[in-house]
Amino acid sequence: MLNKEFLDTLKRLAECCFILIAIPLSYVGDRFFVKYGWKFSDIFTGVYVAIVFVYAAYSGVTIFQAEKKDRAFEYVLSIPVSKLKILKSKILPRILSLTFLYLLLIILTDNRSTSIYEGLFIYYIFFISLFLSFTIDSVIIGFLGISLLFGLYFFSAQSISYIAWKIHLIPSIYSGRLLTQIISALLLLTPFGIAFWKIYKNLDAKPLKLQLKPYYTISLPSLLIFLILILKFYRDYLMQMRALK
Amino acid sequence: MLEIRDLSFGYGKHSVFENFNLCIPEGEVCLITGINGVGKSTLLRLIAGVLKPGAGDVIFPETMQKEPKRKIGFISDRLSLYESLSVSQAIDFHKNVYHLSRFDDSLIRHTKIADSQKIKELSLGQRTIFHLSLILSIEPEILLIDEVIHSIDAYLRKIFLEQLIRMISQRNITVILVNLNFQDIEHLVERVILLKSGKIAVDEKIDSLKAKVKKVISTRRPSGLTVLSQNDYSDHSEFYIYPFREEFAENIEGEIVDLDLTEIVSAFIGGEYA
Repeated sequence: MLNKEFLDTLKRLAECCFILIAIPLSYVGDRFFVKYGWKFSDIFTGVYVAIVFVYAAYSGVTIFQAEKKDRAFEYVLSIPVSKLKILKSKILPRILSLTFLYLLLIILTDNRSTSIYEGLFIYYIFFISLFLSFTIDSVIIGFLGISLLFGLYFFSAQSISYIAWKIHLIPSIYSGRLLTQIISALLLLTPFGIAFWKIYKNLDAKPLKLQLKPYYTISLPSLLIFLILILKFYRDYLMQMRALK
Repeated sequence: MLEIRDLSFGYGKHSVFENFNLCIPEGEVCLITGINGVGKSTLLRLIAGVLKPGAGDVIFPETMQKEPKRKIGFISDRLSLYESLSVSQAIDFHKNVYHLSRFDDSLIRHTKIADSQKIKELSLGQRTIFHLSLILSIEPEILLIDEVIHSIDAYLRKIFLEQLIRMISQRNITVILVNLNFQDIEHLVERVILLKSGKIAVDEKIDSLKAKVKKVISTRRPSGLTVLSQNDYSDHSEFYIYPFREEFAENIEGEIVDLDLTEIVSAFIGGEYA
């Protein structure tokens, strides 16, 4: 099982690396056509990070793609391997491939201070995409959903910063950025993770749409509460930021 | 003994089984039949563990209780496998999952399947035989076979059935078949279970069933007997009687005909559609 997943992941990783050819192409395009005078390192960081983000989302969303596309769900459910083991063997190679791409980012760029946030975001995207994987059959809907949660991640982190500053947990609205982003990621991942696990634990060969109830009973209400809180505090956060300027 | 106890299952709001009970002794070859959509394949999937019951249990023989899936061979009508794998990759995967040290590929050789062929490139018949050879390798104690035989050609069907017969004769294996081509398997089946609206409508040993279901060819409907279904022709009608008893014969006008399994099942199923 693990071998198969490693091979599948390596194929996806090879595809991702192939897309990285966009970096020198962008550089050449700029040198000879656009002529903005971008540095290679600027192009590399921007394009590379964007590709890794998309790869993280793709890795998560398509974690059960082989079973869906190959109609192998029934076979996987009939073999004597625990669901936890199946999930572990799917997650491990993907996490390793993301870590490889992340380490490459750290090695090839000098900007160590921002790369920790990018690292956190890569894993956040992967897990939120993984937790949404049962619901997503359409690539467009998938990316819209992930983009929404992508935005929420930043808005909520800033709202949390504001709340923490307001109740004097942090001295300035700008401090504790990493911690607030981690809290934001955990707050968003938890309801989706619980819903995903409840579905996965009871997953059987019934049509998937009949098994998605935990998303409606756990994730959706949590997301709505989250949205309301963000709407309330993010406005205050913005006003505070304007006042500080 | 394989026991299904108080099992309930449905797809969303559509209930398929409600407090369903069934016992199948070890080594029995059992045929499950009924009209389309009655839950035959669902029942096999529940036994195979690919569907989870809403309530109730599937209780396996003591020898299998620790890890039942390791000793269940399930050939579903979907013939589900990783289609993008090649034959050799699928065999390696299967060997790893079941911790098998060797794999007998002689059955596959009959069908001219190449190791490098992708599963998705196999014909339906080749796929069925490939699936059977995977199942044989695990030496199952319970074998579940859904409606796959109809769709394969006569040569592959012969191979399939020969293997099945060999397996049944060599080992004390419980076999549950769903609605197969009855003519091919009539001599294998010991017990027939007919499902109707999520319940067992008929559960008989095959000899007993053959004695109890008869066809009466007559111009008049036999009075006082339960007619499962009937076929009307210009000069006569055929009445399928169940339950039939020898003492009824004296009062019946017309010819009484013995039936084979295909005709018996058709009579029951025809009765449901009537």
